[in-house]
Amino acid sequence: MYAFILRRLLCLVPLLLAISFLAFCLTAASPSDPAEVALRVNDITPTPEVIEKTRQELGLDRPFFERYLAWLGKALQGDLGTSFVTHRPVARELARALPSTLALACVATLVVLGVGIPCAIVCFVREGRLADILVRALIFLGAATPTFWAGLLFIWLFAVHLNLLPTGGLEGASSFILPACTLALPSLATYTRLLRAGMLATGQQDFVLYARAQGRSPLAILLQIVRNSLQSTLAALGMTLPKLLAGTFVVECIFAWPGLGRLCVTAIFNRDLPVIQAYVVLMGLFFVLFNLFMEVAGALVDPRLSGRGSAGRKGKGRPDKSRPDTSMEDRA
Amino acid sequence: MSARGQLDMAWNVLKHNRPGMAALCFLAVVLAAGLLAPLIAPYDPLAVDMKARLASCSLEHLLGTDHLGRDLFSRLVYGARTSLGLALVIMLVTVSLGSLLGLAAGTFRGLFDSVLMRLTDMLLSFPSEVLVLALVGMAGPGMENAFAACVLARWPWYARMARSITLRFRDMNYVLYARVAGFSRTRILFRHIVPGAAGELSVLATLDCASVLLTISALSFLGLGVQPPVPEWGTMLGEARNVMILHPWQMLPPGLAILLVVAAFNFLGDALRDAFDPCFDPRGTTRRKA
Amino acid sequence: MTQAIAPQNKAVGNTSLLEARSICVRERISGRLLVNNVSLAIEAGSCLGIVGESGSGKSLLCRALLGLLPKGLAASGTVLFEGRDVLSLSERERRALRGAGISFVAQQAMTAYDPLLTLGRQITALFRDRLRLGRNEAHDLACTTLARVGLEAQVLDRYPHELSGGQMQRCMIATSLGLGSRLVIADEPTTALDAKSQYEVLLALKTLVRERGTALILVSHDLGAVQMLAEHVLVLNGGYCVESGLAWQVFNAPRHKVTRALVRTRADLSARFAHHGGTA
Repeated sequence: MYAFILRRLLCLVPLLLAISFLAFCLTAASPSDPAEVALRVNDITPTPEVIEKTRQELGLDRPFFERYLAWLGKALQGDLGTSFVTHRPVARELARALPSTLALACVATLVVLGVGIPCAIVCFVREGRLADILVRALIFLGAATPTFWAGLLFIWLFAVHLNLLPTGGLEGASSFILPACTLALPSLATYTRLLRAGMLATGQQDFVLYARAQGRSPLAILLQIVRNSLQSTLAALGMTLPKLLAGTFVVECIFAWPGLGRLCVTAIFNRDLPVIQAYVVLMGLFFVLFNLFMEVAGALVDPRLSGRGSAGRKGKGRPDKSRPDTSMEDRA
Repeated sequence: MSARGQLDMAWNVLKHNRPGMAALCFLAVVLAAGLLAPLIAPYDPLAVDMKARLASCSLEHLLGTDHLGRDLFSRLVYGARTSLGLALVIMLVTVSLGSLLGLAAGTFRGLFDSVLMRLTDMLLSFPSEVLVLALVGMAGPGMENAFAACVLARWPWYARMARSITLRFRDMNYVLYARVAGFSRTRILFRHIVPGAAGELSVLATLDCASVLLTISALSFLGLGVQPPVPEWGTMLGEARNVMILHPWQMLPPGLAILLVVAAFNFLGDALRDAFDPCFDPRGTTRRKA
Repeated sequence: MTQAIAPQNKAVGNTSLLEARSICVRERISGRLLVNNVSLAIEAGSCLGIVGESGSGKSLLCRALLGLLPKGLAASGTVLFEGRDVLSLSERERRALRGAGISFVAQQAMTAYDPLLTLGRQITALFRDRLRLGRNEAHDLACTTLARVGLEAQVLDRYPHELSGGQMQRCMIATSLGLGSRLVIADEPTTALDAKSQYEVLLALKTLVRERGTALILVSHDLGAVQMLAEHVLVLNGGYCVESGLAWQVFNAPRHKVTRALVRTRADLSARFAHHGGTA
């Protein structure tokens, strides 16, 4: 297993290099001269001499690849440059905004799972009945609702009209509710729909028929179906998490959430290129790591992928009761 | 079955899919309204009338007016042109660009193919939202930049898809037969592969229209996309947001417009999928053959 | 319990364990009949073979007997198991009957178990569920029944993908043994297997019938397998029962052309097999 993870990690190195290169290219290919941008945002009139001086400060006079390597070397040590606007290290700014974004994305994930799985189960159990139709209609609505509009409606209803929850900002647990629900909405719709289809497909499988023919209790069979469908939708869930993280920028702007997305949007308005660049690299890194994580999780949950098959068959005596079983028990 | 026959059959299935046809008609009506906006809209969408600020619904102003006294109904109709039109044009460009590159890669293979595929690998390792945001961020806010960002973030999907379809169709009997019969490669490409690929591409493109529309209006809402005063549904929502506490109804027309159009695209996409893939059961229940 | 109304097939004793009268399976929407007016009966300790080509309605008949038809299909008729009508029971009562009363050996052994759990967990969970046993008792029972069908207890620690089709098929038979089922319906148990596994599975089924007095309904298009175990045979074609009776009579003097074709194919195959120097 560890060898597997290590191998996958090694495969990621070129991909990460490519991402960082891409992010760097984006700034380099930007239509405006970074030096000029840096001056303009600080209200300095960009005369040729000042621009030249700033270019030297920013190292823009050196060749492209040299700049890239220098930037990459610093980035690897955690130095992502200095913000044009605040003149503080970008890495520190990001580090300050990261936890609240991660927390929001995590809560939203919990909402997706906590609401999506029960909804899918209800749909499956009551297939074709009122509850199923109702949930499916809501899913459809959720998939088509623009996040920002849903966010505004939520604010108006719960914060302004009913005055139950804060309109924005990050103060206490109650301020998580509206942003997390807004953020979760589209993914929730997608995931529930997928899980429902997965459960209906699993329900048609032979092992379900066999278990029913042997008179297993309906609850036990349902558990089996849920677990198998969760496993088969794991990849989709893996796509959902980075989407949530990426989708935070709209939600953060609506709810004045002090996170990465808002930092990035503000940076875009201020033309603060180092911050945007760092945001892109960070997001790419997250996306890649998530993919790896989901792959490993999938292998842990599914004994067919964990490479246990060949090892277990050869070993005489009691085969190792290692990962697949324990992880199963945690989930059951 | 020939590719053309497949298209005809898909159309026959689609014709009888009521939600799908309803969605198609709805989209056609909205698009027509957008294109014929000058004839339909009672007011100039940009005409400021400070005396009639924030008016409520009346015969004069069907949906009321916004904070600058502009007629909301007129802005909504003109907004269809911007929002829906922009989304459709973006998808048109994206699909043509992506599928031409993919078709070329799949047909000619070689160095071009491998370079292109590495590039798409790299672009696809980002979530498209982040890529769009990054591209807009680098290029600066504005409609043209949002347009370019959407195209750049999405073409790799179509390139990959078109390439894999091409590779699959290459080995199908009727295409092999055409090759044996000595037709040129470009002829095979346009006579056989393109119609065959159209099905899968159109399903994805229809569903993507919805997400492009959402992306564009989200960017405009944040002020990163279409810039005011151009009427666009996302921009209108952004303006409505400023007066939401006292005049919450202002949020409804543009929000509902986006919702309905996106829902219509989703309906149409599902209907198209059913039409092109008769084996796929939309409810996810394929009755087992006993 | 013994209600000896003889249906048109002659394979009826007066102590039928299961008696099915005029079973019809139809599609709910179109009303198309998939199984048409089939009757059968089976006594304890005997074996009924159901043969027919693929698509002749064999599997649907089995699932109708279990009351487990796929969605969109409906069964009519009466299925009396130990005098109770299975089709009119509530789902709860039917569940109590399944496994312990009527159990099932599925066609596709490789997909008949949850791929994410070891066989041991699935079999013992079933035993604990149905027989109200403790963890250790269930495990012991699983070991002993596996031994009866010639499998080692190690099988319990394996995942489905680590076993062969024949082993899984025998696991299912062992499960039926352990549950003490009074009737086992085996739907094409040997179809997907190689010759050696087929033989082992048939032996295991024989154990079931001989030792436990279990009744067996063996569905197959493999006449050899049916010949080896069944006393009575029912031939299905296109949803209709075209011929039924004692196995040796049907096979030696087939009356219907479908049966004749089936027997002839079988004879040709065995002739070729004998010609290549081997006796079955």
